[in-house]
Amino acid sequence: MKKLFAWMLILFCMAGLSGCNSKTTLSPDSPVALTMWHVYGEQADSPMNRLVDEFNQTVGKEKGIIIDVTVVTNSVSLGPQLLDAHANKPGAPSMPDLFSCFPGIIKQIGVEHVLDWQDYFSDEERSHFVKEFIDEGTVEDHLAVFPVSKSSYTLFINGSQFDRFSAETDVSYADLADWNGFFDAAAKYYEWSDGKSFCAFDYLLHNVEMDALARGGSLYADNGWYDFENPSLRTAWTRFARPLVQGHISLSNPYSSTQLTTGEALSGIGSTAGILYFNDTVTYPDNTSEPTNLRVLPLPKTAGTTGIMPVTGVGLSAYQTTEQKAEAASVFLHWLTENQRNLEFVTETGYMPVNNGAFDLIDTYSFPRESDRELYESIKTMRDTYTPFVQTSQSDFYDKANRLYENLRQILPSLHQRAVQGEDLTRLTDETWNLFRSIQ
Amino acid sequence: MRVLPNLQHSRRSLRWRLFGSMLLLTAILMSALASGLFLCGRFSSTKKETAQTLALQMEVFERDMTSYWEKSAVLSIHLSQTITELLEDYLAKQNIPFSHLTDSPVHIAGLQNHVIGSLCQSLRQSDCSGAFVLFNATVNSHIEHSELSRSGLYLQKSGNEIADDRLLLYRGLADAGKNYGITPHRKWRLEFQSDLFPNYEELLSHAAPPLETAYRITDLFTLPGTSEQAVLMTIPLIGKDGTIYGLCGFEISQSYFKTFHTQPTNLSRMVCLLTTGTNGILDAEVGLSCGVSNGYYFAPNGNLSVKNLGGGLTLFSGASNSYIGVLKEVFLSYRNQTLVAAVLIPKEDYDNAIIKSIMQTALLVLLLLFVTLVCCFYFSRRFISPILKSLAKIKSENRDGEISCIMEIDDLFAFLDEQDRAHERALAALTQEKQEAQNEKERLQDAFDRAQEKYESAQAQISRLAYDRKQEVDPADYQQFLRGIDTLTPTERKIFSYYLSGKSVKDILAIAAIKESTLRYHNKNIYSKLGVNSLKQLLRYAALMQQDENSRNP
Repeated sequence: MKKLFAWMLILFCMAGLSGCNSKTTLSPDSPVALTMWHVYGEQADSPMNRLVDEFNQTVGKEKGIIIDVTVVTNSVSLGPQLLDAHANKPGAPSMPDLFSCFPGIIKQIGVEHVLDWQDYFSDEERSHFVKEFIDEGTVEDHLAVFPVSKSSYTLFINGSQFDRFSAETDVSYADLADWNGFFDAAAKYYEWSDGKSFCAFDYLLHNVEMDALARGGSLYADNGWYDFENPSLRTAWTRFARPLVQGHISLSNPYSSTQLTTGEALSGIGSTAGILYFNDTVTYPDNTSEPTNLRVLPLPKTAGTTGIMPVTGVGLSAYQTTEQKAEAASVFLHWLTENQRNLEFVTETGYMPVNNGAFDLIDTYSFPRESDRELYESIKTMRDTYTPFVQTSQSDFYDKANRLYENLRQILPSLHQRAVQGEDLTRLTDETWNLFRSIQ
Repeated sequence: MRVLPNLQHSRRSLRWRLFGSMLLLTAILMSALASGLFLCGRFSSTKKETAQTLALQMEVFERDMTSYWEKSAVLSIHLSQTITELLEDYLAKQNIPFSHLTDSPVHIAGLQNHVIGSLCQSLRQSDCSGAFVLFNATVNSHIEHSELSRSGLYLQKSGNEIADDRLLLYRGLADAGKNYGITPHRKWRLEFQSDLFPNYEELLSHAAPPLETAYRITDLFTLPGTSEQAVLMTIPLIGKDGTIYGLCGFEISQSYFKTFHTQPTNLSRMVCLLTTGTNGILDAEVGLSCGVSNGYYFAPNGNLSVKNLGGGLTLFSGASNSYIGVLKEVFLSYRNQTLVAAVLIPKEDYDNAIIKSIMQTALLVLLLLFVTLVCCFYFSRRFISPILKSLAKIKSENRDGEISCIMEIDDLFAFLDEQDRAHERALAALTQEKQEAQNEKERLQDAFDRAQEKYESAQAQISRLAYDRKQEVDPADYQQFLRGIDTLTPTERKIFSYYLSGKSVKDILAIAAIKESTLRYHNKNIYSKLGVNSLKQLLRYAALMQQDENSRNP
């Protein structure tokens, strides 16, 4: 009898302890749902959403993880949205579990509120990623923003229209290799098209930055905004402001891809990731349309310099909530950044890979579209010949930049009108410089 | 059936008998409990509870949907009236018929600028992700496929945040949008393409007043150029003269629907679907879906076959996932369109709930069984131990001063002690009695031995006397005496035997119930036949005869 009870006791203990063997907090019987905000495919066919679907149907289903994409936006809008959510502002949605983010936003949110990916990626695993990208995402010794993809800037051109323009003006793609040739072409296009913009700039300031950097001097002040005492900055600004008030170039509103689609501009300079948003056809106001025949060229450089390649892009952060969600976020991020998947993802979205292995594979990758192939050729050219420059991730930089763009958009029509009427261009560009300086 | 009697009659220890009895009692109680639970429906409660919960969720979802779509229908009617008025106002001011809009970029731009403000206002007032107005006109009828091109405006909310009031221009003149701070959508187009507009021909062919019955909800479709799916609440633009100018209405995108219609629930996983119909198959990809307030959302995909499980539950089986849920038709006003709502939970959750319920019951039973066994073992042991100890004490006959703390046992000990004492007293008495009997026996033996000696002495004396008398008796007389005995009548023989046995005359008279004269008569005959003269002589000859007989038969 005693033996019987002893065996029963042992069986009970074994049954009780059988669930304690596994270390994972995940269970397919009780999936954990993670909300996600990202910037890949806003208003378009989102490759990230497709990847999330694939994850949910495969690894997620197997391990008990459901990623629910609740916001797809852009990197500029995402920061304020995250800050509003974190501050629980009225009308703001709850903070997502996973989100695309610049390191500067993490500084405002507080690094203690996000996961330190170093706890989930070993030294050996992290060594497979581009070191500069890992360093960029490290805030106060926390790897708070894990690199998923990085972008640069390139020149996108409506090839169909450019070919006609080129045929009549002898302006070629080669002329667009530096800013001198670029602005000359812009002036010619303005004349040729009866006043249309040659190029719409998504992030004008970053292009000014590159030109100023190429000319020398410090770029940023201590407050993360620009050092206006640097003469190179003013020179560079003036160089862009002059064609801007003349109408040769324009500010995107909000993206150059739409201005190419509507035929308002012949080209656009923006993030390499913008390729996802360019339409196959250009539609003009009379509803006639033609194939965009998108051409992608390296970012024009300052004549006589080696050129500077801006490197930017958000990474992925995870809000600190539960241990289970943290593990789920880690599983997803590991899956997302695997070599082949990272390569396929970035080539679909127009980004640069962050994984050394994926970088190695890109040369042999078969691109589905000619424009994609051309984009990565341009990126390769810039990587090989330009000097990379990681742009600021200061938290309020984009807020100030957006205020500048808004103010410029408001005054540009009148400045342009005054320029057309023959007013002194130096005076007009000085007004824009003063506006630039007034933003603090 | 013979097991129980065998068990009953088998020889078992007291402890095992008590343990068995307690176990039997527990088994009976557990059976009664199980029967009670079964009768109360506890064993089927998971299915019932699931059905009740899903029915409640369905009611909430149905009310949400009815309210939402009816509100959208009202807004659509107002939008149609407003846009129609603006359109007719514009045409009147320009003094052109509606047909002159086609191929007129100026008038189309003018009309779009005229109506975009109201469209923006309607969109912002609505709980919808977009609003549109489509005119049966095109800016350029001379281009290829112009018959499919329709001018109009299509605005979308920039995001799904309440605080975000930015709008995007998905279709329409970019300049018309810019005047209202509306930037073109990334997948902007100038005009609608009717072949990509869901149910376009059907909607126009059924367009007829009154507006109250003219609204329709389209099939789910993918917004061209994007991965976003949406349905449209459409309503025709009907002029005063009955001319159908086009369509207008609102867009409800899947992401917008999912964001603003999350359902409150205690269920960890649930998804609600709203489609335009089923026919034994629920196509999860043609309807809007939403998750629950705890953040769970995982849209079903593909066709789900529908099978009634009874009890208010339906099984939805898909290629990769299966669900348990409820299905209900949702009627909008005027019943001009029926929607089908489904509230689903993953089948694994339902199965797990059932397994959990069974496991809980099994665990409870096992626990009860275990506790019962332990209790039975412990209590039977605890109860029987003092009894066994007491029995051992009784067996050992050494229970002096033993107190068991059990009243009955202590009483038994007292009783047994009393019995012991009584036995001891009886034993002492018997011992004494035995001693006395022994003494008496010895005394009687002595008396017997003396009597025996006397008897033997007397017997010897008698023998000597008999020998002497025999010598004194005439042998002829004696022989006559012996022969005369055979001649006695039965009555005489009886009386003769009385004399031989030592009876007195008085005794014989009483025994034979005869008169003394009669006895004398018989005596006379006897004396005569035996040849004797007196009773004394008769008794002497009789004694000799007996002595002879004794000597012949010692």
